[in-house]
Amino acid sequence: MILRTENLTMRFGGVTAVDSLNLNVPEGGVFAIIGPNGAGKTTAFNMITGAYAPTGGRIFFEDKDITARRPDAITKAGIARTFQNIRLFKDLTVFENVITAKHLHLKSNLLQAVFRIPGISPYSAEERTFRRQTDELLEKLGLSDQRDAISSSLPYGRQRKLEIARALATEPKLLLLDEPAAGMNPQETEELARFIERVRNEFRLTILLIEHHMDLVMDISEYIYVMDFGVNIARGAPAEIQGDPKVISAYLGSGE
Amino acid sequence: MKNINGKTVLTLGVIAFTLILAFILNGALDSYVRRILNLCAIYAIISLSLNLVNGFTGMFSLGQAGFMAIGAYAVAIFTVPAELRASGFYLEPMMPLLANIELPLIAALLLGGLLAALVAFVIGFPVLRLRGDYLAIATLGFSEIIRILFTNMQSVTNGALGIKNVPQLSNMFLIYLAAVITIALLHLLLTSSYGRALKAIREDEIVAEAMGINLLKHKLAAFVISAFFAGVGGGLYGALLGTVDPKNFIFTLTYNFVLIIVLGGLGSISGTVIASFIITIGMEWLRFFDEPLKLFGIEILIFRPGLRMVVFSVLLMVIVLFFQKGIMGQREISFDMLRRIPLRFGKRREDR
Repeated sequence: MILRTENLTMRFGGVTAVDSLNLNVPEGGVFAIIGPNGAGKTTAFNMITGAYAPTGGRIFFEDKDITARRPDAITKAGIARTFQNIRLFKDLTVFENVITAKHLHLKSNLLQAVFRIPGISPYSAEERTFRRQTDELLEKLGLSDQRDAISSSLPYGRQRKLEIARALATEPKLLLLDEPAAGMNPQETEELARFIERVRNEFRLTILLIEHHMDLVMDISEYIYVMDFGVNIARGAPAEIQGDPKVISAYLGSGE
Repeated sequence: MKNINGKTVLTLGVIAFTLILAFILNGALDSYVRRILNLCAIYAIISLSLNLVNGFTGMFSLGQAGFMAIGAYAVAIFTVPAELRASGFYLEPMMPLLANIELPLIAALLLGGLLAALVAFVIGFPVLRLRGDYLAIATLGFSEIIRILFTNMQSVTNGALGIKNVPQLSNMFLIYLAAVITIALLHLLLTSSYGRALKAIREDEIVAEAMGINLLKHKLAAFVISAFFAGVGGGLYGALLGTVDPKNFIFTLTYNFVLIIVLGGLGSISGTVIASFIITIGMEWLRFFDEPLKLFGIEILIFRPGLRMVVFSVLLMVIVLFFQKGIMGQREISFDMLRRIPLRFGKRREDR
């Protein structure tokens, strides 16, 4: 299991946003959390990535307890994420956005970085490696033609791609995508599905995504968790989920 | 690779030219003009230190006057010749431990910078957890606390009487050397991976943290480095004035630097340097606003001491309302940019 949660719970005052969530995500593959608005999906993500400290339960990443650790420590451990509403460094270029995410691999200290005398300080060599890796990553994901463009000037679909590229630059083992297809038309969604599969295969990582687009989820995920009102109401392969009466009633109402 | 070498040579050339110019002007200019130009360079150092925190890291600190005071007092306490100290400290003699320690100016400047950095480190831990306005208020309060501490530490700082007889510094070469070193070090910092991390924090803290950047560590580093340069700048300021007294370091002093970095561009080194010259020279040049003025035999009532500051406040408001990005925004003057200027004209001619 690359990621495991035990009775993960988050209460905001009297509201229980996530109630005893038990995720078991094995290594490799694409997994999805689905559910109606307000089901607690993003809250679950925020707990896994350390943005919120859970009020109950534990989170294990590669069998290490990472519950309530700082977000940067969790990213260093190997979990990267994207955001529901794209959050790029808007004033920075495509290249700068991605290379910034390389910073966590920097070994040189501040003084070595400022007094970067070749031969004495290891910084210049590290910087060269970062630049090469960043260019390779942009090339691989088809973003190198806009390498020096300001990131906010990119079309929407490419901003999504860039956000994924930035997350990949941290070299994660587990990638969390928060509604990657939000605001996309069916054709863009289809392209995104292929893109996600390619990323999974080429970078050999595990992907956990939150999604509203049912077709995308059914298309690419191997295993699905369904949440409603903070509770995990169903889990299983796409085919099982599609026929589950509890899932149908959560999405369409129970008909009473 | 050749290109980089060419640029390096050009950069070193510009630095050498600046320093040689400062050296020559030092002998050629009268003391009034020299003093103003020296003040420009000192203000540039302090404004750059503030811009590192406010412009590049996206925090809002107003503590620069406090850090300057630490640097200025380090210079004042340790560079006044020991035999002249007793006459200044007449209310209460100087603490015996300090009374006989004399340091050369450069050592005192570095000591002041390091002490300011140390203080920044200690207060940084609790204060940097605050965001936005709260940080501004906390740092503002800190700078006032430092001033009041210095007013009351009679046997160390001579309290409200201040320290006089500080050997005056008017050597343009030395002051411009300090400014050039500050610019060079900040440039190297900001173009490094650490600089990118600071800019990422400015752009979006939550994302920066999600990209594995330790917020507290990086903010603290920026804050401490900023305090160091503010301390050195404050030391130079004290040495330029020749007297150091707590009233020099009222929090309104910080607003000069806020004005400079907003005018120059939050997040631009070159903009800050340009604005330091504009504001410092402007402050002098606009002195006639503070003097009574008679037009056609009628005294214009608003021309009285203080009007200069009104003019500056209006200027700041105009910038905030109409030129939010300042002179340079987040851009820098670079050789590439200068090379593109003739190109742009050439293109236009081709287009016809």
